[in-house]
Amino acid sequence: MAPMTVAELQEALRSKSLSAAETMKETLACIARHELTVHAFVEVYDQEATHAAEICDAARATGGGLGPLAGIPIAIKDNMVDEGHTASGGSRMLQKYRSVYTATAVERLRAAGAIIVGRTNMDEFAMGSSTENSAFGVTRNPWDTERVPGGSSGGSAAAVAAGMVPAALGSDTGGSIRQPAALTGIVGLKPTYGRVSRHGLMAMASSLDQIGTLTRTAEDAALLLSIISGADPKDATTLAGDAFTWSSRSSLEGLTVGVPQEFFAEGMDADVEARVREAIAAFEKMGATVREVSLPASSHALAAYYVIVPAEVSSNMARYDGIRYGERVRAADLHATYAATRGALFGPEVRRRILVGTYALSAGYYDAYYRRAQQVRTLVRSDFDSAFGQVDLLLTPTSPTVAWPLGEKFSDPLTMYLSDVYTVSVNIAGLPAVSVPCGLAHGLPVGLQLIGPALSEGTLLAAAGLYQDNHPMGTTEPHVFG
Amino acid sequence: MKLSSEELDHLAKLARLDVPVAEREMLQEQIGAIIGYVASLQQIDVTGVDPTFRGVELGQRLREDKPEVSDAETRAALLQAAPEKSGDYVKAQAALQHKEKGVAGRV
Repeated sequence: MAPMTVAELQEALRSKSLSAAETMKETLACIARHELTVHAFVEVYDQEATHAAEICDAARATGGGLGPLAGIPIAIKDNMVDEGHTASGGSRMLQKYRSVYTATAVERLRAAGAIIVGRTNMDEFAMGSSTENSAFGVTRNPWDTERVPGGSSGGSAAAVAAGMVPAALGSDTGGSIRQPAALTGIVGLKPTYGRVSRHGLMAMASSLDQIGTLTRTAEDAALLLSIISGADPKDATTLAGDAFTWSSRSSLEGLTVGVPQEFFAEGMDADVEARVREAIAAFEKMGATVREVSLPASSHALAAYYVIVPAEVSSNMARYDGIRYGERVRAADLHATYAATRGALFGPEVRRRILVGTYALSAGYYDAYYRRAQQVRTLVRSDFDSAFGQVDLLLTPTSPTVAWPLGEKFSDPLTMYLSDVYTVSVNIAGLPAVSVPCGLAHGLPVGLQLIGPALSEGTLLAAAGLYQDNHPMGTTEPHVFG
Repeated sequence: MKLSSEELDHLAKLARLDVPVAEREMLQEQIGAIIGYVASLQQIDVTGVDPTFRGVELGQRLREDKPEVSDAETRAALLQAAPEKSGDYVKAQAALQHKEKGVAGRV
């Protein structure tokens, strides 16, 4: 039997055909069954989650006012702080760090009744595309445990794909929700920049980071977004305005869909392209008008991204100096202690990005690299602006390939970076996008990416939801169930 | 284009980051390759294009200049996180050298 979605669990819990305690027992049993092979979690809160489920049932029995997610188990990525719990960001630097406050998104989930069951594995401080850069071991893809789940939210994706939890939070700076969702056959939503508060999210590249969801359906993504989104006085970049609303649709009549030709360039796996082309044809069948569009600057987006990100990383990582929190490696004097602590406790990808960012921001190179990358960012944004003058949403592949074997790209950072080629421009432009499963290539899941103008999550998820209803992925069960 | 040994030392110094000797060669290669790749930005015509520095342009937003009330518990938790403490203080190391007896060394 396929694992239940958030919406199905909601219904079962409301109608009391299932108790929160039973749900949690099944969740924890499923985690226990698959965790040794998949390693999606850094920590599971067995006792706390069991206790919270009992409290939820007691409240329901007395007719207490329960939130919309009452009793629903949800996992969070290890880069969101949660008071009283460890939050390590996948890094040795914060191996023993205990949060002193709670991230707004996590707080909102709990206020809605959700039960946080644990924190999921990730690339160190969200830097990576395979979840191999974690200080706490690699996460494996439930479809083939010799392959990566994608990253950096690979633990959250694997936990949902393996049926351990119906939903998880992730963060997406250049594809870190959408790409692992694509590689594990689930739905990954990266909301508009500013839609969800970043308060309590460990900053990687602050102008690009955004919290989002990993779920099995578009409907579940909408359910969670309606809870975690909204202005937050603790994050000055959150957008004010109307709350997120969503309604499903029965046809795509009246919707114009653009296919950016630059996203079908060389380097894409032929079977992946075939699945994406079939999905585009399916959108046409559902009533959408399909037309080709051009986003010329998008071919430079990846280069701009790998300047902007390291530059912001080099600033954001400065806080990890071994003084106020984390571990300390003591050396002769203060400056030597900074360097020794950071050198010993950051992993190789973090160190690489700090050094590249330092280069891009250093005297003499600033104009040629950092400033120029920000000018290219403007070009990328204007391309999207003109495309959205003609179409309502864009359809592209999420990743040029299916999940690759563990270790294959690990020692070659540039090749790893190229796996983000279809996702980074969305972050550079601050737009929302969702990856939805569109079939299998080489026996592994392929993701279709829907990109929309700012605050168009409702349209994106309604279109993705209708596509999912009409085109269930076929053999959607990962091997881990076999 | 491999990064020179001197360039790596300069970056590591600016970044306050020790680079293990065994990784130097590899880092010079990898960082050189990454910088070589992003150097393709030089070929794009950006004449008259304004840079975009932020994720979203919302103007300056300031909260009221009012201290937030904190409690002893939060303070204790914050102190707890520090790797070295001295009483109610986070313990660092001297930022100035004590080579000679002088003002810098006095408390």
